[in-house]
Amino acid sequence: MPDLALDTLTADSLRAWLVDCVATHLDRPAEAVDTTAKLSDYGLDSLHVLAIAAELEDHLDISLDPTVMWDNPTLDSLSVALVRELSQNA
Amino acid sequence: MTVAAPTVGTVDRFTRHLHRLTGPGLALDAGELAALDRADAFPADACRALDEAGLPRHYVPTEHGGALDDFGVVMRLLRAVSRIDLTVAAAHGKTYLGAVSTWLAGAEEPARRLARRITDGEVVSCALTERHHGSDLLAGEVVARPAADGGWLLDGEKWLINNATRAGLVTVLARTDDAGGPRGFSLFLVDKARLAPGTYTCPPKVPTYGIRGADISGIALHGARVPADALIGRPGQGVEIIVKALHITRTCCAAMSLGAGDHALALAADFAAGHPADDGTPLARRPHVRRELGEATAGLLLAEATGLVAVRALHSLTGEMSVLSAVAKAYVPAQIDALIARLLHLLGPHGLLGPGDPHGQFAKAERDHRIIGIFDGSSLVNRSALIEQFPRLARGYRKGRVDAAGLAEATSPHIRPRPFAPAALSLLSTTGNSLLAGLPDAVAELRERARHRGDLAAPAALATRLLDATGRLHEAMAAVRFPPRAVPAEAFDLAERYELCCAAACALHLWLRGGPADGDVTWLRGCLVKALTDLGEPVEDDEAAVLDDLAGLLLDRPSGSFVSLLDRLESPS
Repeated sequence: MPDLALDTLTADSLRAWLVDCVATHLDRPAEAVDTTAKLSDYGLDSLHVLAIAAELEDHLDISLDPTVMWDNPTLDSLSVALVRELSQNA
Repeated sequence: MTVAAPTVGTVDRFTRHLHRLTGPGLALDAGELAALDRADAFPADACRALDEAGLPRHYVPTEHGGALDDFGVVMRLLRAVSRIDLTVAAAHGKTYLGAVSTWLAGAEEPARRLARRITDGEVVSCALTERHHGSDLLAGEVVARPAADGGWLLDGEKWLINNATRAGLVTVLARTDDAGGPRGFSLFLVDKARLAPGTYTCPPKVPTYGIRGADISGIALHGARVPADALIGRPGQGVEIIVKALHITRTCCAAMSLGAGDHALALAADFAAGHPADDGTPLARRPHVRRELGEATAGLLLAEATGLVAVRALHSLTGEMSVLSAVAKAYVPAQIDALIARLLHLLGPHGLLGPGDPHGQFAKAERDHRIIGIFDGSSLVNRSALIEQFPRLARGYRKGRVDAAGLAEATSPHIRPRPFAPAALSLLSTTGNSLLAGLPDAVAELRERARHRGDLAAPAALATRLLDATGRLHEAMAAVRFPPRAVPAEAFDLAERYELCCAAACALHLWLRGGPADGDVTWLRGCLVKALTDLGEPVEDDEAAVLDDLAGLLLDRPSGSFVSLLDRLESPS
């Protein structure tokens, strides 16, 4: 997975990390993950999606409201929303 | 530090009142309740008696005018009812599940209105499941569409719903976005009296294996118009609210299992003590019967420790309830089912189900309790919820993430819990599970105390083995990888082991925090032996002998009473 640090976080770097994370969960190559598709379209159910949030939290050592994953169902919208939320909390 | 004396007073008064109502011809007479069960008839007099005893006030938080400020109290009240009759407990307690979404949504005026209805005796139901989708809430097909005048129009059928026919108010989960998904559903508090004639029907009661008299039915909505203020929370919040509500209700379900377990264990013990074997001595004097009764007692105490800590955790480890509610709902009913099955296997051939039990109470408890493991999310559903959290739980354990203050409060039953803060409920635990992450310190403390108290050497050795098993378990949990919707079977085995480790940890934390420092350690040894045995860890014969001592607790208890940790934890140190 690409390295990710809180102080240099951008929507692009976060999206790339999330793509790798989802690809790992789905056991498929990163190129096959569409960042405009809803995660639920990949069969990732609500709790599984939350598990991805948990990995991100652990990686960055932060706490997220897991519902951010529900309110932003695609990786594109999620990475923008997360960067916004993290910059507010910083 | 406040000693929760008023708590004990409320529970004791209620329990004594219930006991008085068990007399011949009264509302809780075992013979009457058995006759109703045989006829699949609803125990209406019994439920009315609970209304008159003021139980509904305990479903309403104090901020809305009720008496609920400690989930430990409502748990003990429902446990007391469940010792008498599980159909009555499930029928009456359902109103809390019907109401909790409104409490969690937080709007004041709707909560106050609902509070008044409940304290006036209204029955409130909660309709989540559907005929073709079971526990898969995101597949629900009941829809709510905005009506032209600002209200909502509801269509579709909810099915296998406890009290759907009796209730005047029903909380309904409905699809408000055709695309569905976790933001595609909303909750509505449907007031049947305000629906236009013909816009709802209730399909007939379903015959069930247990709780035969209960109103397990459904509600079909046919373009039923509800006003705008029927919406609970905001549109799209339905799944989030209900998942959090289930963190509470799944935890409180332990009350019903514990009451049924108390009842079954007391019936079995009384039977074994009074029933002579072929040689004329009471069955209870036979070594293998005594050992089994002791193991059953240990199982009950482990389940009680789990329920007790989980329900207190609602107050002090609120953000961890996605884990603890799943553990409580998966483990406690399964443990009590197993306990009842083993007692039946042991004593059935000697006539436990025969003339020794004139009202068939043991058989009824067995049938009724089988239903507890299914409703409000089955053991499988709850184990899946645990498995989804394995990576985070494994990391939390490895990093030793413990909410020390919350853990100390959850495991100190004599301390009044802090006020419940609904906003702290989280769909996923942010800290992991403090009960297990705090286990290494608890074991270290027990070993330290054992240096000064000889009788703690044995439990310290057992606890050390528990810690070792818990460490290995978390390594296995961290290694589980699976694609969506393809959970491997071994993950469910790990979830079961996880529950056992949690149960044993609850017992240890409670012993360390909840009782006097020089308190008797027999029950803790029994709980650790039982948990290690169920985990498949080695237990020596001389260690297992403590189960015979636990059988003594059961057989020598005062007539009409039950074995409970609470008697050993709440006496002032």
